[in-house]
Amino acid sequence: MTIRNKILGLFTALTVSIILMMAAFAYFLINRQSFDDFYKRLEIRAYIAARARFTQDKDNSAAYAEIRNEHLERLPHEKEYFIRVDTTGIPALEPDLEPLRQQFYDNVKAEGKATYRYKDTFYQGVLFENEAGKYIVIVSASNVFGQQFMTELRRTLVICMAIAAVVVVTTGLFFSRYILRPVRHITSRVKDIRAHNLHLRLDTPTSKDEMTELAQTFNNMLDRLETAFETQNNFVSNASHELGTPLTAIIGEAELALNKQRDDEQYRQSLSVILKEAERLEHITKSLLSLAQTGFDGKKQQLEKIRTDELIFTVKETIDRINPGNQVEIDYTMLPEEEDKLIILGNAQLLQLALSNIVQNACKYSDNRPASVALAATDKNNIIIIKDNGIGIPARDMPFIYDPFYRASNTGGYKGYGIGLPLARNIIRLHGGNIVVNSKENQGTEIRIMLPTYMRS
Amino acid sequence: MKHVLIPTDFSIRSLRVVHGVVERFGGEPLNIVLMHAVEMPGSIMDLMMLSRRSSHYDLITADYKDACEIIKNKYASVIHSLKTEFLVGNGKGLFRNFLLYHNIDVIACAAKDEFRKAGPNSYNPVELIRKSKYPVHHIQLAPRKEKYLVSAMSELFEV
Repeated sequence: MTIRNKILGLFTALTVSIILMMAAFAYFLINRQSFDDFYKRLEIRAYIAARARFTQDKDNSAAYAEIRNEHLERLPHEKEYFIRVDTTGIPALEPDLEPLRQQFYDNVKAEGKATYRYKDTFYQGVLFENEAGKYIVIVSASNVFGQQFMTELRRTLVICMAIAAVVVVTTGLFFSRYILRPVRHITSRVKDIRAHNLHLRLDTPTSKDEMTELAQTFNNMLDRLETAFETQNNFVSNASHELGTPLTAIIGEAELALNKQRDDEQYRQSLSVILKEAERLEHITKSLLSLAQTGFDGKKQQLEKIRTDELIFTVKETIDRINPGNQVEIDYTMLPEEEDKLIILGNAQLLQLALSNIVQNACKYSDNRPASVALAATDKNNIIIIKDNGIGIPARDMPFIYDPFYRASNTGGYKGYGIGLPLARNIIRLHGGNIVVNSKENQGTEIRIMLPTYMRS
Repeated sequence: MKHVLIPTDFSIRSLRVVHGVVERFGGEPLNIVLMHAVEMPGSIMDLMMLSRRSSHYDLITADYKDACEIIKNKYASVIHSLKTEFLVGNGKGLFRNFLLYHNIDVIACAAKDEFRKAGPNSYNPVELIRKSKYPVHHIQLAPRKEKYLVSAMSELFEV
């Protein structure tokens, strides 16, 4: 069952039931009103009939009879009965009054009047008293006009109900269509969006309703998808370029060496060039491999307790070995007094790889100008701040620094493949941490790494 | 136990006064109150909502909180408590009450006043401190370097 039909059903049921209830109430009220009215008429007739019959004065009696004949229309099947209440209080029964129960007579005697209805015949009894004695006067008639009126009313109501139901269903159809129009719109629009036209977006009306929110959510998702697609495309083109360059050099060098006979020294030189380029190739593929391995693969890593100060010290040793001319200083001034606050859970090799990548970058892009690595601990995080006075990252390149193989526009004079930072970020994220890069072109870069402290629980 | 008051503008740099305080009074446990002064709001609605809404608490940045935790962890054995309090309003009597309430023994501020307004209602309490007749300890900070980063945690370092 579609939502549209649900809305239609609910709307119709609700509206029709309200109309039905109102009609039933109106019918009930009018019905009761018509009964009361008819009983009143019978009562007046009973009094006048009693007076016409029992008044001793001949003239008065004639006058009553005249009024009765001239002004009171005879009702259909109108009959009147006079019952004398004898001293014992039990009235003499007549055969026509068969349907009346003893209860009726008791009520007449007790309250002066009573009503009773048997099928279409209505009975009204009153107590009349004069010098001659006590009488119960009963007038009976059938309420033909009332019945006709009620039938008419019933028919009108039923017809009205039918018309209303039709109208409600029709409006319900339009109503549900109108309500769900934005949804259908979004559905048809989203169906159009494929991999090759990811730039398409849904229209977002200015009104602030749920549908606009839904459309915006879709648009945000499309933004992310588009970015991911573009990253993927960039990665492939950059990777093939990066891998292609050393290969071209190797092929060129080999062809050059082979095209004629050369002396030993030249071969040696060619081979050493080939070796260097091959080593570069190997380095790239290795970094690519570790990048792929550190990407989120859902597998749980083996974690151990690591002290961040020792970690930084190891990194410093590694840097000293690779780049003896570095001026990296370790700033321990903000170390906490409690050593427990320096313990994190993680994979030491991976963290060393990430940190040494970042520190190496700090040395490389500042031409070995002084750089500092500082360590501090808040209550929940270990904070490592790596600061250099290098060439910085231009603001326009900042959004792309985590794309693999992406290199900022001002790094032309430095060797690199653009794998270090994305790799470092993957590793930090793997440890539940966060990395923030702050930089200004030609002044320096500050990288803040936050790693959650190990909490003994 | 010594109670020290340090005015702060929520910059990381203003926290460096703590280093000097610990160096000078570090012989005994310290209770440090970092005070930020804001003007009493002018409108009646703001006044009525003052205790509820406390929009001035938004002035405290995450970096500032982190930096406070770092300092507290660094001097864990000396600093008994390090808390940030607001002085709402500008007046000698008000400030005296504030000092009495927090049981302050000494006020420490940077030798060179480098106050920056953290919010539209912030003001520099240097005049109040001068008139309070409390002992004021001035602490020399390293000169501010040309900074390219607006909120840099590294300002806390390079002691």
